[in-house]
Amino acid sequence: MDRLSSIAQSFASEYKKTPVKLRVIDCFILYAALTALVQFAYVVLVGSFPFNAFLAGFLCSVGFLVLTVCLRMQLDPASSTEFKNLSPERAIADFVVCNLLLFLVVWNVMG
Amino acid sequence: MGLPSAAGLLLLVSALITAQASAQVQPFTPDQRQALASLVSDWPTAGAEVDASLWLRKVFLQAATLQILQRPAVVPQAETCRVATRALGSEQLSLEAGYYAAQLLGVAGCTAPSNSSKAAAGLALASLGSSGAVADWFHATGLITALQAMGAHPGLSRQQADDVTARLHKLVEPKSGVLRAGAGKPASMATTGRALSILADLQAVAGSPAQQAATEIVAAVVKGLGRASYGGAAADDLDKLEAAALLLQGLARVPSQPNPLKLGELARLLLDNLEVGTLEDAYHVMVGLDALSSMPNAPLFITSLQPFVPAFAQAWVRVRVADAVGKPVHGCHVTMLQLAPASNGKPVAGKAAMVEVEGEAGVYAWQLPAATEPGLYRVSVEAVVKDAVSPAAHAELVLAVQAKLSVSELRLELEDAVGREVHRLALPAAGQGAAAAAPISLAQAQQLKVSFGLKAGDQPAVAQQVVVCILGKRSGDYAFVPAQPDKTKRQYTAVLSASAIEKQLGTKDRRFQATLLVGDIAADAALSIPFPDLLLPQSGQEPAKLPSGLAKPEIVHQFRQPDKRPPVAVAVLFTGLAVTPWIVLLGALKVVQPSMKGFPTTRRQVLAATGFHGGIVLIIGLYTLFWLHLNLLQTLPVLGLLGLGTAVAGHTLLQGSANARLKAA
Repeated sequence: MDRLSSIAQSFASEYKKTPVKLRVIDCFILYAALTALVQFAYVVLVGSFPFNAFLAGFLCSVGFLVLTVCLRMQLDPASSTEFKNLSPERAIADFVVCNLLLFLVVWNVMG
Repeated sequence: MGLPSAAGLLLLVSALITAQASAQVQPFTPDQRQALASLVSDWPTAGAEVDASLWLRKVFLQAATLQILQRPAVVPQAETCRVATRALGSEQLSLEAGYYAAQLLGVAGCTAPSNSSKAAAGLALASLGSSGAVADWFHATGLITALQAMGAHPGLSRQQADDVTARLHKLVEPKSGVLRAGAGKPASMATTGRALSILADLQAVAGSPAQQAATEIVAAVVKGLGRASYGGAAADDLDKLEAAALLLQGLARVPSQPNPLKLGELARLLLDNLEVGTLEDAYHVMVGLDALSSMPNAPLFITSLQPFVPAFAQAWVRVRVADAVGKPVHGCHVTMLQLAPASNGKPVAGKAAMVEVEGEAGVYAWQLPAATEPGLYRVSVEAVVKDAVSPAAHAELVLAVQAKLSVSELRLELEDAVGREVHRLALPAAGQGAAAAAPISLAQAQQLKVSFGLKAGDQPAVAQQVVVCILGKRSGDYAFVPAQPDKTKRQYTAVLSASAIEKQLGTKDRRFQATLLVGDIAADAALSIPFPDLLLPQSGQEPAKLPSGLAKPEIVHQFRQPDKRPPVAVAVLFTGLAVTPWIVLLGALKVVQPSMKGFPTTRRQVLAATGFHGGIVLIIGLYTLFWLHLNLLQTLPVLGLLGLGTAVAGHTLLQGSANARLKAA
């Protein structure tokens, strides 16, 4: 138990060193994950009707989560060597365009 | 394809009854006996170049199987004696070949040559001393036993027998009671069976072997068999049938009382494999069943002899009690435990003793009550052998009590499209001479209503299959129109219309033969009542006009049932839960405390940032409108314009941001 708490403390102190920009992105990742979880719980506990709306909502949350994780990876200074030919502005533009496309599809399927 | 006869319907229900009966384990049927006998009756020829070991083995398996099947085992005596004698005298004689040769000499009634026998017995004794494999001991003791039975060898000494018994004792796995095939080799049921046979042979050739060790081996095997399932215990046996046969042979040859349930398990394994394709499997199945039937506590099997009986006088429930190989068992206590209708299960007769039919061994009967109604019944039967060593056999049999079915008040009415009677047709009584009657012309807008009642004996009845078969006279194609009973189930109706017939059979035929078919398991015979032929108007011919002013039938739409919605409270709860990620997001952002200090300050950049963010908000607003009011064609042009503006603003904003970042670097 002590070891667990020391791991948590060490994680918290290290996380504080993360740039604010990335921590804001983490908040949105958490938000997307929770939204997907609530929808999944509804389908398991209550039912899948209307199924198209569930699919649209769930995949929207998961899609947004994936795109945001990608954005985080591209903006993270720690992984700058992997994306050295990709500027942060380009990553943001890609993120916005991809999300707008995702939302168009989701709105279309939602019914 | 021809018209399926009404009798075909009865065959169908008969097949259903047979299928139900065969779901239980059955002893041998005569057909299965015949099939097995055919499989093993083809004797191999023995040429000069033949492999004597293989030939002897094959002939031995055939002879033994046919003997159990009680078929005249025409063993080619001269050829068998010649090959077996030659094999026994061969310098390359193997132990297994010697075993089969010695067995066959006995079966064929040949005289064992003294010199060859001595050499073969020497080989067997050497194997008993030097080999560590139980399979070799099995063949060796079997060989010596066969030679001793023919007077060609004096047998084993007590010392030799005790030595083999002691070595077998060491191979017993104490927990499972299964024997290992040799030191360091895996345990198997086949080895266990062989070991028991060795003990029996040792008893025969050397008098009483090491009695205590032998008793302990048998006790361990029987105890282990009672604990484990046979399938689990025989996990290491490649050939399950061979293992089961060897085990049963061994158990039958030593004094033992194996668990009857386990014997039943073994019997099921063998009986499930009656339809074998090889001589080896046939031999194993037959030898196993034969051994099983010789045991005092072997399972019995009860089969129905007459699954269909008439409802009227002198109807009997007749069953046959047989052993595993199908031999009738005489003198059992057979009790009918219950007779209950298959549909509702409420018994109509309780426990009653069944009487063995005089002159028919193994056949037991009980007379049905006179008032038994026609229908399908389940009969529970129990049989016990009078000495009470065998376990009681139970069976659930299916019995169809049948009555004569008849059709009453048969009417054919020609109706218009709304069901008003246009014409009532006189039908010859019970369909007699219907084929010769004038054909019925059925206009496009008309339908033929067939109505009738059904009776079983004098009582109204409901049948399982009631259909009108329509057969195209030219093409031979046919279709069925089911007749539906009314609510009281006293009156059946079938409606035939030209459009429905054309829908099923096309427009090739214009003349049809119509037949009412009635079949039921409770009918002693199916009914087939022909109607006059039906004539449809020629294809393309003007359909008969409806009478003017005639109202068409009201169209009733059938809507899909709406899906079940959750209760309001649940919906509200999950709506609340769906909002919670927002609260978590706001809380998390409050903890992270993002600032606006990176927001541009120059006028151009402020305009670009406002345009970019405003454009995104407008696009999402457009999506919402698209969801609520617009279609895709209306949405895409506006999206293009908004997207262009947002892209320009975004490009300006991000370019400025990139420039500032590069300058700072």
